[in-house]
Amino acid sequence: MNDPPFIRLYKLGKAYQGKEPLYQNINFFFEKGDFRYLTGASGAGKTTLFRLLLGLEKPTWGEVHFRGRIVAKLPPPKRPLHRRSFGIIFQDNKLLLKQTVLQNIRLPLIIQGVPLRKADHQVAQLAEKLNLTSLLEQPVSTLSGGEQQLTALARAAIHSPAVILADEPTANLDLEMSARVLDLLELFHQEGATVIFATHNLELLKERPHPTLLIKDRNFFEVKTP
Amino acid sequence: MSRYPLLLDRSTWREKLPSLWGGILTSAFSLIIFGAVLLLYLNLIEVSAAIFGQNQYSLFLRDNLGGKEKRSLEKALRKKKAQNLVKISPEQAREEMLQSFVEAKSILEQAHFKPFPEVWEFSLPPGPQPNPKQLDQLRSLAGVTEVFSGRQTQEELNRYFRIARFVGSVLLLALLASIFILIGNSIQLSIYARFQEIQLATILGATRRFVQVPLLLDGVFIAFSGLALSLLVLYLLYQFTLAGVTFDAPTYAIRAHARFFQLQELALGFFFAFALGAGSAQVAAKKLLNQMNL
Repeated sequence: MNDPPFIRLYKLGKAYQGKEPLYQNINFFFEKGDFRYLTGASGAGKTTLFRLLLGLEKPTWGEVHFRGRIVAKLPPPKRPLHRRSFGIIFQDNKLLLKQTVLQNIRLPLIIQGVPLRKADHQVAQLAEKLNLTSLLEQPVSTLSGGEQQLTALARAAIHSPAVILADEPTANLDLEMSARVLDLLELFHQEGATVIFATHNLELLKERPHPTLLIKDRNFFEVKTP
Repeated sequence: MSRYPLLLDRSTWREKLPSLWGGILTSAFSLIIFGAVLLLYLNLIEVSAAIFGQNQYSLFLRDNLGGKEKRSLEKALRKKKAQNLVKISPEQAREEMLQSFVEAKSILEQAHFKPFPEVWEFSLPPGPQPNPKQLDQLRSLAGVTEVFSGRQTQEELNRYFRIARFVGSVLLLALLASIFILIGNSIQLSIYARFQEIQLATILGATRRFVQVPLLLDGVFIAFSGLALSLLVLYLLYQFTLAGVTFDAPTYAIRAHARFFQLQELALGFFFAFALGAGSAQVAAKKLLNQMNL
């Protein structure tokens, strides 16, 4: 018997009340270990797709499957476990500004019940990889935009999630820092994570090796990386 | 760093204390009224039971009763095994009255009153009660104009207490409901204030329990602090009132019977505060988190 697709969008459609549908009748697969760029105009539905994947919203039509299970039909006690399979980086990073870098990065581990000492050890290892060790005890509010986004990236990856959803994480960063973020995502991808990287900055994707998914005219198109 | 980092670490406490204070103070205010009504009720029962002993009798004697008649009356009482006989002469009664209204003593001293009757107070051995026959027998003794028994007075008071108990129960239930709502509102404010953090925790895979436990602790904290604060204020008020009462000689006896909440009652109070705080926080958190689809 074949394994079910890792992520499957089945006849997926989403519309908000009183507005035109974002997309309709989408059928698409993400395989385990994929790295996809997701692009489209502002308001095309990139963030909405992430929210649908996380089970934070329900599709208007169709279904989102993750590892063979329909996300919208997961019973409430199973939803947190489902979300722990994901690491997410937001455009505005959503860090707890008054807390330190260490406290922010280890948050997913604490939520999952990992003992504090073990969590701190894991954070220290990852921080070394990301060159964040010297910042660990600093409050996030004192960091630069780039450092904050690296912290958010570390928080998304600390629990070795199966999927990393990056929702325009480079929107407020310069090209150099953006490239660094992408390189790090590449690193996590090589370690086994499936990565979906949303951006509307096509310049950034130049000479990047992975396929791009374009959301346009209520549909998904696979396009060549520019 | 606790197991619930979002809502329990030091910086979080600094942030949320002002909103918790609102809940604590308003709960304490309601609990002061609640406690005052309860304390007053308990004391009224206790003091009245102590002062108006069930076997206590007062005989009002006819004016100008002769020595011979008094002796035969005393003999009759002794036959009935009367104990602790206290004879209050008209002069003593007048003096006690003047002492009772110490502020108006100078005015009352100049006033002309109808002479007070002589009153004999005593107690009879406990027996089958009520005993109207006993009262009739006492009334029929020569030289006696009126008889009052402690039981009569207490029954009269109990009738008022029953009404007070009903009104008090309704008032207390209303106050409990208001405290329940007050704590719930504080928790809802706390959720609104920390919405982004709670939302983030939910996205990162936090369970309902992870989000709700600190909110329940907030509710218990508000209820406990409100109760502790109200008890402190009530205790000060109690001492102040008692000190005022005991300046007055005739009411000095109240001090012996008046009481504050006892240890078991306080323990019960804290148990109820725990249940009230946790319950109201649970209801408020569940409702709001459902509304927010978290």
